Amino acid sequence: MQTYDPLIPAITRNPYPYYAVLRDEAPVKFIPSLQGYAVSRWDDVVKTLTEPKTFSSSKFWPALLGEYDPVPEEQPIISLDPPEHVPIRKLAAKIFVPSRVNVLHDQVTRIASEMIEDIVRKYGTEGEFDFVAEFSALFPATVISEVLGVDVERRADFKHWVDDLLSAAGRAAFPPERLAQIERSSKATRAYFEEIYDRRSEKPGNDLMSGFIHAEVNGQRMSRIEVLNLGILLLLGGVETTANLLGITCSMFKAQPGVEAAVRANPEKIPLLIEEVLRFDSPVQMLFRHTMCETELAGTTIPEGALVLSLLGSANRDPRKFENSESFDLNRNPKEIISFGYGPHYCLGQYLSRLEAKIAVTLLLQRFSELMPLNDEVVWTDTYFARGPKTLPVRFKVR
Amino acid sequence: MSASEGFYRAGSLSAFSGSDRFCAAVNGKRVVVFKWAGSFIATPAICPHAGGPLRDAVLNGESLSCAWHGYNFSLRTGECDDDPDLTLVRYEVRIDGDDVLVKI
Repeated sequence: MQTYDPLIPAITRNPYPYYAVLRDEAPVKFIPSLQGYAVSRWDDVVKTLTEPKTFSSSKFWPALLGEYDPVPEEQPIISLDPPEHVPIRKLAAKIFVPSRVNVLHDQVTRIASEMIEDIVRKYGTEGEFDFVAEFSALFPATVISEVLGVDVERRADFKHWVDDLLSAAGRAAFPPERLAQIERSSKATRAYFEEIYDRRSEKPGNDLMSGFIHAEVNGQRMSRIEVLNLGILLLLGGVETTANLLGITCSMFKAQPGVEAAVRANPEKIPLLIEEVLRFDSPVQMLFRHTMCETELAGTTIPEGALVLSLLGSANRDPRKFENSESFDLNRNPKEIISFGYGPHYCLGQYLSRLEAKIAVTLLLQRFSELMPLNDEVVWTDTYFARGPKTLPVRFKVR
Repeated sequence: MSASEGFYRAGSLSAFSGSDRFCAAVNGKRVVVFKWAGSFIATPAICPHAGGPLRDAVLNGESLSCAWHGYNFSLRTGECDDDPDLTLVRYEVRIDGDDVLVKI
Protein backbone atom coordinates (compact mmCIF):
# COMPACT_ATOMS: atom_id res chain seq x y z
CA MET A 1 0.00 0.00 0.00
CA GLN A 2 1.18 3.54 -0.77
CA THR A 3 2.07 5.82 2.11
CA TYR A 4 -0.63 8.32 3.10
CA ASP A 5 -0.39 11.46 0.98
CA PRO A 6 -3.48 13.68 0.80
CA LEU A 7 -2.38 15.16 -2.51
CA ILE A 8 -2.92 11.81 -4.25
CA PRO A 9 -6.59 11.80 -5.36
CA ALA A 10 -7.01 8.03 -4.99
CA ILE A 11 -6.00 8.35 -1.33
CA THR A 12 -8.23 11.35 -0.69
CA ARG A 13 -11.20 9.44 -2.12
CA ASN A 14 -10.81 6.82 0.63
CA PRO A 15 -8.18 7.83 3.18
CA TYR A 16 -9.33 5.43 5.88
CA PRO A 17 -7.13 2.38 5.11
CA TYR A 18 -4.15 4.75 5.00
CA TYR A 19 -5.14 6.29 8.32
CA ALA A 20 -5.24 2.79 9.88
CA VAL A 21 -1.66 2.13 8.74
CA LEU A 22 -0.54 5.50 10.10
CA ARG A 23 -2.14 4.87 13.49
CA ASP A 24 -0.52 1.45 13.78
CA GLU A 25 2.89 2.09 12.28
CA ALA A 26 3.65 5.82 12.30
CA PRO A 27 1.20 7.81 14.46
CA VAL A 28 3.20 10.98 13.80
CA LYS A 29 4.55 10.90 10.25
CA PHE A 30 6.23 13.51 8.09
CA ILE A 31 4.37 13.95 4.78
CA PRO A 32 6.88 15.28 2.21
CA SER A 33 4.31 16.65 -0.25
CA LEU A 34 2.81 18.95 2.40
CA GLN A 35 6.00 19.38 4.41
CA GLY A 36 4.05 18.62 7.56
CA TYR A 37 3.59 15.99 10.27
CA ALA A 38 0.38 13.94 10.11
CA VAL A 39 -0.99 13.05 13.57
CA SER A 40 -3.46 10.18 13.45
CA ARG A 41 -4.33 8.81 16.93
CA TRP A 42 -7.17 10.23 19.03
CA ASP A 43 -5.11 11.15 22.11
CA ASP A 44 -2.40 12.81 20.04
CA VAL A 45 -4.88 14.75 17.89
CA VAL A 46 -6.61 16.00 21.06
CA LYS A 47 -3.22 17.10 22.37
CA THR A 48 -2.49 19.12 19.21
CA LEU A 49 -5.86 20.87 19.56
CA THR A 50 -5.73 21.61 23.29
CA GLU A 51 -2.17 22.81 23.84
CA PRO A 52 -2.01 26.07 21.88
CA LYS A 53 1.26 27.13 23.50
CA THR A 54 2.91 24.20 21.70
CA PHE A 55 0.55 23.67 18.76
CA SER A 56 -0.46 27.12 17.56
CA SER A 57 -3.38 28.03 15.28
CA SER A 58 -1.61 31.21 14.18
CA LYS A 59 -0.76 29.87 10.73
CA PHE A 60 -3.98 27.90 10.19
CA TRP A 61 -5.44 30.29 7.63
CA PRO A 62 -2.18 30.77 5.71
CA ALA A 63 -1.71 26.97 5.63
CA LEU A 64 -5.26 26.43 4.36
CA LEU A 65 -5.66 29.33 1.95
CA GLY A 66 -2.14 30.53 1.19
CA GLU A 67 -2.15 33.47 -1.21
CA TYR A 68 -5.88 32.93 -1.83
CA ASP A 69 -6.96 34.35 1.56
CA PRO A 70 -9.67 36.89 0.68
CA VAL A 71 -8.74 39.06 3.69
CA PRO A 72 -4.98 38.66 4.10
CA GLU A 73 -4.54 41.89 6.09
CA GLU A 74 -5.48 40.25 9.40
CA GLN A 75 -6.10 36.72 10.61
CA PRO A 76 -9.63 35.61 11.55
CA ILE A 77 -10.34 34.15 14.98
CA ILE A 78 -9.78 30.59 13.72
CA SER A 79 -6.16 31.57 13.20
CA LEU A 80 -5.56 33.31 16.55
CA ASP A 81 -4.37 31.62 19.73
CA PRO A 82 -5.96 32.17 23.13
CA PRO A 83 -6.44 34.62 24.68
CA GLU A 84 -6.30 36.84 21.54
CA HIS A 85 -9.19 35.01 19.87
CA VAL A 86 -11.48 35.29 22.90
CA PRO A 87 -13.13 38.76 22.52
CA ILE A 88 -14.45 38.25 18.98
CA ARG A 89 -15.16 34.57 19.57
CA LYS A 90 -17.30 35.48 22.57
CA LEU A 91 -19.24 37.94 20.46
CA ALA A 92 -19.91 35.34 17.77
CA ALA A 93 -20.50 32.56 20.30
CA LYS A 94 -23.45 34.42 21.79
CA ILE A 95 -25.27 33.91 18.50
CA PHE A 96 -24.55 30.19 18.32
CA VAL A 97 -25.42 29.05 21.85
CA PRO A 98 -28.16 26.36 21.87
CA SER A 99 -30.86 28.71 23.18
CA ARG A 100 -30.29 31.16 20.29
CA VAL A 101 -29.91 28.43 17.67
CA ASN A 102 -33.13 26.70 18.75
CA VAL A 103 -34.96 29.94 17.95
CA LEU A 104 -33.96 29.29 14.33
CA HIS A 105 -35.80 25.94 14.30
CA ASP A 106 -38.88 27.24 12.45
CA GLN A 107 -36.81 29.26 9.99
CA VAL A 108 -34.60 26.24 9.16
CA THR A 109 -37.68 24.00 8.82
CA ARG A 110 -39.30 26.50 6.41
CA ILE A 111 -36.17 26.68 4.26
CA ALA A 112 -35.82 22.89 4.07
CA SER A 113 -39.53 22.42 3.27
CA GLU A 114 -39.42 25.03 0.50
CA MET A 115 -36.36 23.45 -1.06
CA ILE A 116 -37.91 19.97 -0.99
CA GLU A 117 -41.09 21.30 -2.63
CA ASP A 118 -38.92 23.03 -5.28
CA ILE A 119 -37.45 19.60 -6.10
CA VAL A 120 -40.93 18.07 -6.42
CA ARG A 121 -42.05 20.93 -8.69
CA LYS A 122 -38.95 20.52 -10.85
CA TYR A 123 -38.70 16.72 -11.04
CA GLY A 124 -42.25 15.48 -10.41
CA THR A 125 -43.39 12.82 -7.98
CA GLU A 126 -40.71 10.29 -8.84
CA GLY A 127 -37.50 10.10 -10.81
CA GLU A 128 -33.92 11.13 -10.32
CA PHE A 129 -32.07 14.27 -9.25
CA ASP A 130 -28.65 15.26 -7.99
CA PHE A 131 -28.96 15.45 -4.21
CA VAL A 132 -25.89 17.72 -3.94
CA ALA A 133 -26.83 20.20 -6.67
CA GLU A 134 -30.50 20.41 -5.72
CA PHE A 135 -30.40 20.15 -1.94
CA SER A 136 -27.35 19.58 0.21
CA ALA A 137 -25.17 22.25 -1.43
CA LEU A 138 -27.87 24.91 -1.27
CA PHE A 139 -29.75 24.28 1.97
CA PRO A 140 -27.00 25.27 4.46
CA ALA A 141 -25.99 28.13 2.14
CA THR A 142 -29.57 29.40 2.33
CA VAL A 143 -29.70 29.11 6.12
CA ILE A 144 -26.41 30.90 6.72
CA SER A 145 -27.28 33.54 4.10
CA GLU A 146 -30.50 34.41 5.92
CA VAL A 147 -28.79 34.40 9.31
CA LEU A 148 -25.79 36.44 8.15
CA GLY A 149 -27.89 38.86 6.11
CA VAL A 150 -26.34 38.25 2.70
CA ASP A 151 -28.31 37.83 -0.52
CA VAL A 152 -29.95 34.39 -0.56
CA GLU A 153 -30.30 34.53 -4.34
CA ARG A 154 -26.50 34.45 -4.53
CA ARG A 155 -26.35 31.16 -2.60
CA ALA A 156 -25.09 29.16 -5.59
CA ASP A 157 -22.24 31.69 -5.95
CA PHE A 158 -21.45 31.36 -2.24
CA LYS A 159 -21.20 27.57 -2.50
CA HIS A 160 -19.01 27.89 -5.57
CA TRP A 161 -16.71 30.43 -3.88
CA VAL A 162 -16.46 28.38 -0.70
CA ASP A 163 -15.68 25.18 -2.63
CA ASP A 164 -12.91 26.99 -4.46
CA LEU A 165 -11.46 28.63 -1.33
CA LEU A 166 -11.37 25.39 0.66
CA SER A 167 -9.84 23.53 -2.27
CA ALA A 168 -6.89 25.95 -2.03
CA ALA A 169 -5.48 23.53 0.57
CA GLY A 170 -4.43 21.36 -2.38
CA ARG A 171 -2.95 24.25 -4.38
CA ALA A 172 0.49 22.61 -4.55
CA ALA A 173 -0.92 19.97 -6.89
CA PHE A 174 -3.23 22.18 -9.02
CA PRO A 175 -2.68 23.34 -12.62
CA PRO A 176 -2.61 27.10 -13.40
CA GLU A 177 -6.20 27.24 -14.69
CA ARG A 178 -7.52 25.76 -11.42
CA LEU A 179 -5.46 28.24 -9.41
CA ALA A 180 -6.82 31.10 -11.53
CA GLN A 181 -10.35 29.95 -10.72
CA ILE A 182 -9.57 29.92 -6.98
CA GLU A 183 -8.14 33.44 -7.25
CA ARG A 184 -11.29 34.67 -9.00
CA SER A 185 -13.45 33.18 -6.24
CA SER A 186 -11.26 34.71 -3.53
CA LYS A 187 -11.56 38.17 -5.11
CA ALA A 188 -15.30 37.76 -5.67
CA THR A 189 -15.80 36.79 -2.00
CA ARG A 190 -13.89 39.86 -0.82
CA ALA A 191 -15.67 42.21 -3.20
CA TYR A 192 -19.08 40.88 -2.20
CA PHE A 193 -18.46 41.24 1.54
CA GLU A 194 -17.06 44.75 1.04
CA GLU A 195 -20.34 45.59 -0.69
CA ILE A 196 -22.40 44.00 2.09
CA TYR A 197 -20.41 45.95 4.69
CA ASP A 198 -21.24 49.23 2.94
CA ARG A 199 -24.91 48.31 2.50
CA ARG A 200 -25.37 47.23 6.11
CA SER A 201 -23.44 50.21 7.46
CA GLU A 202 -25.77 52.54 5.62
CA LYS A 203 -28.95 50.61 6.32
CA PRO A 204 -28.66 48.08 9.16
CA GLY A 205 -30.97 45.06 9.18
CA ASN A 206 -31.86 42.39 11.70
CA ASP A 207 -28.96 40.17 10.70
CA LEU A 208 -25.49 39.17 11.87
CA MET A 209 -23.49 41.37 9.52
CA SER A 210 -25.39 44.43 10.71
CA GLY A 211 -24.87 43.25 14.29
CA PHE A 212 -21.14 42.77 13.80
CA ILE A 213 -20.71 46.21 12.23
CA HIS A 214 -22.34 47.87 15.19
CA ALA A 215 -21.19 45.55 17.98
CA GLU A 216 -18.59 46.56 20.52
CA VAL A 217 -15.78 44.27 21.67
CA ASN A 218 -13.96 45.45 24.78
CA GLY A 219 -15.65 48.83 24.37
CA GLN A 220 -14.53 49.26 20.76
CA ARG A 221 -16.28 48.69 17.46
CA MET A 222 -14.79 45.93 15.34
CA SER A 223 -12.75 47.21 12.42
CA ARG A 224 -13.99 46.79 8.86
CA ILE A 225 -11.38 44.07 8.31
CA GLU A 226 -12.45 42.20 11.47
CA VAL A 227 -16.08 42.24 10.34
CA LEU A 228 -15.15 41.04 6.84
CA ASN A 229 -13.04 38.26 8.34
CA LEU A 230 -15.80 37.10 10.67
CA GLY A 231 -18.50 37.21 8.00
CA ILE A 232 -16.41 35.24 5.51
CA LEU A 233 -15.37 32.73 8.19
CA LEU A 234 -19.00 32.08 9.12
CA LEU A 235 -19.94 31.74 5.46
CA LEU A 236 -17.13 29.23 4.91
CA GLY A 237 -18.06 27.27 8.02
CA GLY A 238 -21.79 27.49 7.45
CA VAL A 239 -21.84 26.49 3.81
CA GLU A 240 -19.37 23.70 3.39
CA THR A 241 -19.39 21.47 6.43
CA THR A 242 -23.14 21.01 6.76
CA ALA A 243 -23.49 20.52 3.00
CA ASN A 244 -20.94 17.74 3.20
CA LEU A 245 -22.55 16.26 6.30
CA LEU A 246 -25.88 16.01 4.48
CA GLY A 247 -24.28 14.63 1.31
CA ILE A 248 -22.37 11.99 3.24
CA THR A 249 -25.49 11.08 5.25
CA CYS A 250 -27.46 10.48 2.05
CA SER A 251 -24.58 8.47 0.58
CA MET A 252 -24.75 6.20 3.65
CA PHE A 253 -28.30 5.17 2.64
CA LYS A 254 -26.60 3.20 -0.15
CA ALA A 255 -23.24 2.42 1.43
CA GLN A 256 -24.72 1.06 4.66
CA PRO A 257 -27.62 -1.25 3.77
CA GLY A 258 -30.46 -1.14 6.24
CA VAL A 259 -29.61 2.27 7.70
CA GLU A 260 -32.24 4.18 5.72
CA ALA A 261 -34.94 1.64 6.61
CA ALA A 262 -33.91 1.73 10.26
CA VAL A 263 -34.25 5.50 10.58
CA ARG A 264 -37.48 5.49 8.59
CA ALA A 265 -38.89 2.95 11.06
CA ASN A 266 -37.48 4.87 14.04
CA PRO A 267 -37.14 8.59 13.21
CA GLU A 268 -36.02 9.21 16.78
CA LYS A 269 -32.74 7.61 15.65
CA ILE A 270 -32.00 10.45 13.21
CA PRO A 271 -29.77 12.26 15.75
CA LEU A 272 -27.88 8.98 16.26
CA LEU A 273 -27.47 8.69 12.50
CA ILE A 274 -26.04 12.22 12.30
CA GLU A 275 -23.57 11.57 15.13
CA GLU A 276 -22.35 8.28 13.64
CA VAL A 277 -21.98 9.84 10.18
CA LEU A 278 -19.93 12.63 11.76
CA ARG A 279 -17.70 10.05 13.42
CA PHE A 280 -17.46 7.58 10.57
CA ASP A 281 -16.85 9.99 7.69
CA SER A 282 -16.03 13.43 9.05
CA PRO A 283 -16.89 16.40 6.78
CA VAL A 284 -13.67 18.06 7.95
CA GLN A 285 -10.80 15.62 7.67
CA MET A 286 -8.03 17.65 9.26
CA LEU A 287 -7.02 20.86 10.98
CA PHE A 288 -3.68 22.64 10.79
CA ARG A 289 -1.41 23.64 13.63
CA HIS A 290 2.20 24.87 13.84
CA THR A 291 4.69 24.02 16.56
CA MET A 292 5.89 26.92 18.68
CA CYS A 293 8.84 24.88 20.00
CA GLU A 294 10.46 21.52 19.41
CA THR A 295 8.21 18.88 20.91
CA GLU A 296 7.81 15.13 21.09
CA LEU A 297 4.57 13.40 20.18
CA ALA A 298 4.06 9.63 20.12
CA GLY A 299 7.82 9.16 20.22
CA THR A 300 8.52 11.42 17.25
CA THR A 301 10.36 14.70 17.58
CA ILE A 302 8.66 17.56 15.74
CA PRO A 303 10.89 20.61 15.20
CA GLU A 304 9.88 24.20 16.04
CA GLY A 305 7.87 25.93 13.32
CA ALA A 306 6.62 22.71 11.72
CA LEU A 307 3.22 22.24 10.12
CA VAL A 308 1.10 19.69 11.98
CA LEU A 309 -1.87 17.99 10.29
CA SER A 310 -4.34 16.93 12.98
CA LEU A 311 -6.25 14.13 11.23
CA LEU A 312 -9.79 14.35 12.63
CA GLY A 313 -11.02 11.69 10.22
CA SER A 314 -8.43 9.27 11.56
CA ALA A 315 -8.93 10.10 15.25
CA ASN A 316 -12.64 9.32 14.84
CA ARG A 317 -11.68 5.82 13.61
CA ASP A 318 -9.06 5.13 16.27
CA PRO A 319 -9.77 1.69 17.79
CA ARG A 320 -8.06 2.91 20.97
CA LYS A 321 -11.04 5.24 21.36
CA PHE A 322 -13.97 3.44 19.67
CA GLU A 323 -14.85 -0.24 19.72
CA ASN A 324 -15.19 -1.69 16.20
CA SER A 325 -14.09 1.73 15.03
CA GLU A 326 -14.09 0.86 11.32
CA SER A 327 -17.75 -0.26 11.43
CA PHE A 328 -20.73 2.04 10.92
CA ASP A 329 -23.05 1.45 13.87
CA LEU A 330 -26.30 3.40 13.88
CA ASN A 331 -26.80 2.65 17.57
CA ARG A 332 -23.28 3.60 18.64
CA ASN A 333 -24.25 7.01 20.05
CA PRO A 334 -20.65 8.22 20.35
CA LYS A 335 -20.43 10.55 23.31
CA GLU A 336 -17.29 12.22 22.10
CA ILE A 337 -16.31 12.85 18.48
CA ILE A 338 -13.74 15.23 17.10
CA SER A 339 -15.42 16.19 13.81
CA PHE A 340 -16.05 19.75 15.03
CA GLY A 341 -12.56 20.08 16.47
CA TYR A 342 -11.69 20.30 20.14
CA GLY A 343 -10.37 22.86 22.59
CA PRO A 344 -10.28 26.64 22.18
CA HIS A 345 -11.38 26.52 18.53
CA TYR A 346 -14.20 24.00 18.96
CA CYS A 347 -16.61 24.76 16.11
CA LEU A 348 -18.89 27.69 16.88
CA GLY A 349 -21.58 26.45 14.52
CA GLN A 350 -21.84 22.85 15.69
CA TYR A 351 -25.30 23.28 17.26
CA LEU A 352 -26.61 24.93 14.11
CA SER A 353 -25.05 22.29 11.88
CA ARG A 354 -26.60 19.45 13.88
CA LEU A 355 -29.97 21.22 13.95
CA GLU A 356 -29.92 21.72 10.17
CA ALA A 357 -28.94 18.11 9.53
CA LYS A 358 -31.60 16.73 11.85
CA ILE A 359 -34.37 18.87 10.36
CA ALA A 360 -33.31 18.18 6.76
CA VAL A 361 -33.08 14.40 7.16
CA THR A 362 -36.40 14.30 9.03
CA LEU A 363 -38.23 16.27 6.34
CA LEU A 364 -36.60 14.43 3.43
CA LEU A 365 -37.62 11.04 4.82
CA GLN A 366 -41.13 12.32 5.54
CA ARG A 367 -41.64 13.71 2.02
CA PHE A 368 -39.92 10.97 0.02
CA SER A 369 -40.84 7.32 0.42
CA GLU A 370 -37.71 6.55 -1.58
CA LEU A 371 -34.46 8.48 -1.53
CA MET A 372 -31.58 6.30 -2.60
CA PRO A 373 -28.25 7.04 -4.32
CA LEU A 374 -28.06 5.44 -7.76
CA ASN A 375 -24.41 4.46 -7.67
CA ASP A 376 -22.27 2.45 -5.30
CA GLU A 377 -19.29 4.71 -5.96
CA VAL A 378 -19.40 8.30 -4.70
CA VAL A 379 -17.72 11.12 -6.63
CA TRP A 380 -15.92 13.06 -3.90
CA THR A 381 -14.84 16.71 -3.96
CA ASP A 382 -11.22 17.31 -4.86
CA THR A 383 -10.14 18.81 -1.54
CA TYR A 384 -8.46 16.76 1.18
CA PHE A 385 -9.37 19.25 3.91
CA ALA A 386 -13.14 18.98 3.60
CA ARG A 387 -14.85 15.76 2.53
CA GLY A 388 -18.19 15.34 0.80
CA PRO A 389 -19.81 14.17 -2.42
CA LYS A 390 -19.30 16.38 -5.46
CA THR A 391 -22.46 14.97 -7.01
CA LEU A 392 -24.87 12.35 -5.69
CA PRO A 393 -27.53 11.21 -8.18
CA VAL A 394 -30.48 9.75 -6.29
CA ARG A 395 -33.71 8.01 -7.18
CA PHE A 396 -36.71 9.47 -5.37
CA LYS A 397 -40.41 8.91 -4.99
CA VAL A 398 -42.83 11.24 -3.25
CA ARG A 399 -44.80 9.66 -0.44
CA MET B 1 -1.81 12.38 52.02
CA SER B 2 -4.02 12.25 55.08
CA ALA B 3 -7.34 13.99 55.43
CA SER B 4 -8.27 16.10 58.41
CA GLU B 5 -11.90 17.24 58.39
CA GLY B 6 -11.84 16.63 54.63
CA PHE B 7 -8.85 18.92 54.09
CA TYR B 8 -5.89 17.66 52.09
CA ARG B 9 -2.52 19.31 51.61
CA ALA B 10 -2.16 20.87 48.15
CA GLY B 11 1.30 22.36 48.71
CA SER B 12 3.13 25.03 50.61
CA LEU B 13 2.61 28.80 50.39
CA SER B 14 5.84 28.99 48.43
CA ALA B 15 4.06 27.11 45.61
CA PHE B 16 2.52 30.43 44.59
CA SER B 17 6.06 31.69 43.92
CA GLY B 18 4.98 35.22 43.02
CA SER B 19 1.88 34.10 41.14
CA ASP B 20 -1.77 34.30 42.17
CA ARG B 21 -2.27 30.55 41.59
CA PHE B 22 -0.73 27.11 41.52
CA CYS B 23 -1.85 23.69 40.26
CA ALA B 24 -1.89 20.57 42.38
CA ALA B 25 -3.27 17.07 42.62
CA VAL B 26 -5.41 16.83 45.75
CA ASN B 27 -7.00 13.55 46.80
CA GLY B 28 -6.83 12.34 43.20
CA LYS B 29 -8.24 15.52 41.68
CA ARG B 30 -6.41 18.18 39.69
CA VAL B 31 -7.13 21.61 41.14
CA VAL B 32 -5.99 25.20 40.83
CA VAL B 33 -5.54 27.13 44.07
CA PHE B 34 -6.12 30.89 43.69
CA LYS B 35 -5.00 33.69 45.97
CA TRP B 36 -7.77 36.20 45.63
CA ALA B 37 -8.81 39.35 47.53
CA GLY B 38 -6.64 38.47 50.51
CA SER B 39 -8.17 35.02 50.65
CA PHE B 40 -7.79 31.64 48.98
CA ILE B 41 -10.10 29.44 46.92
CA ALA B 42 -9.55 26.33 44.84
CA THR B 43 -11.32 25.15 41.69
CA PRO B 44 -11.12 22.10 39.45
CA ALA B 45 -8.27 22.36 36.94
CA ILE B 46 -10.60 22.45 33.95
CA CYS B 47 -13.40 24.78 32.96
CA PRO B 48 -16.94 23.33 33.26
CA HIS B 49 -17.81 24.75 29.82
CA ALA B 50 -15.47 22.88 27.49
CA GLY B 51 -12.56 21.66 29.53
CA GLY B 52 -10.23 24.63 29.12
CA PRO B 53 -7.27 24.80 31.54
CA LEU B 54 -8.14 27.17 34.38
CA ARG B 55 -4.47 27.56 35.26
CA ASP B 56 -4.40 29.87 32.20
CA ALA B 57 -7.62 31.72 33.07
CA VAL B 58 -7.59 35.50 33.48
CA LEU B 59 -8.49 36.68 36.99
CA ASN B 60 -10.03 40.13 37.13
CA GLY B 61 -11.47 41.05 40.54
CA GLU B 62 -13.65 38.09 41.47
CA SER B 63 -14.24 37.18 37.83
CA LEU B 64 -12.33 34.23 36.39
CA SER B 65 -12.33 34.16 32.58
CA CYS B 66 -11.37 30.91 30.85
CA ALA B 67 -8.65 31.38 28.24
CA TRP B 68 -10.28 29.03 25.72
CA HIS B 69 -13.71 30.56 25.19
CA GLY B 70 -13.82 33.47 27.62
CA TYR B 71 -16.59 32.09 29.83
CA ASN B 72 -16.66 34.16 33.03
CA PHE B 73 -17.20 32.64 36.47
CA SER B 74 -17.48 34.33 39.83
CA LEU B 75 -14.90 32.94 42.24
CA ARG B 76 -17.18 34.10 45.05
CA THR B 77 -20.38 32.31 43.98
CA GLY B 78 -19.33 29.98 41.15
CA GLU B 79 -21.99 31.53 38.87
CA CYS B 80 -21.32 31.82 35.15
CA ASP B 81 -22.10 35.11 33.37
CA ASP B 82 -22.35 33.40 30.00
CA ASP B 83 -24.45 30.33 30.76
CA PRO B 84 -26.67 30.17 33.85
CA ASP B 85 -26.66 26.37 33.62
CA LEU B 86 -22.94 26.25 34.35
CA THR B 87 -21.43 26.51 37.82
CA LEU B 88 -17.79 26.51 38.78
CA VAL B 89 -17.17 24.14 41.68
CA ARG B 90 -15.16 25.83 44.43
CA TYR B 91 -13.22 24.15 47.19
CA GLU B 92 -12.60 25.72 50.56
CA VAL B 93 -8.93 26.47 51.29
CA ARG B 94 -7.34 26.70 54.72
CA ILE B 95 -3.79 27.78 55.55
CA ASP B 96 -2.08 25.86 58.34
CA GLY B 97 1.36 27.30 58.98
CA ASP B 98 3.07 26.96 55.61
CA ASP B 99 0.63 24.34 54.33
CA VAL B 100 -2.14 25.10 51.84
CA LEU B 101 -5.03 22.72 52.58
CA VAL B 102 -7.96 22.12 50.21
CA LYS B 103 -11.28 20.60 51.29
CA ILE B 104 -12.36 17.97 48.75
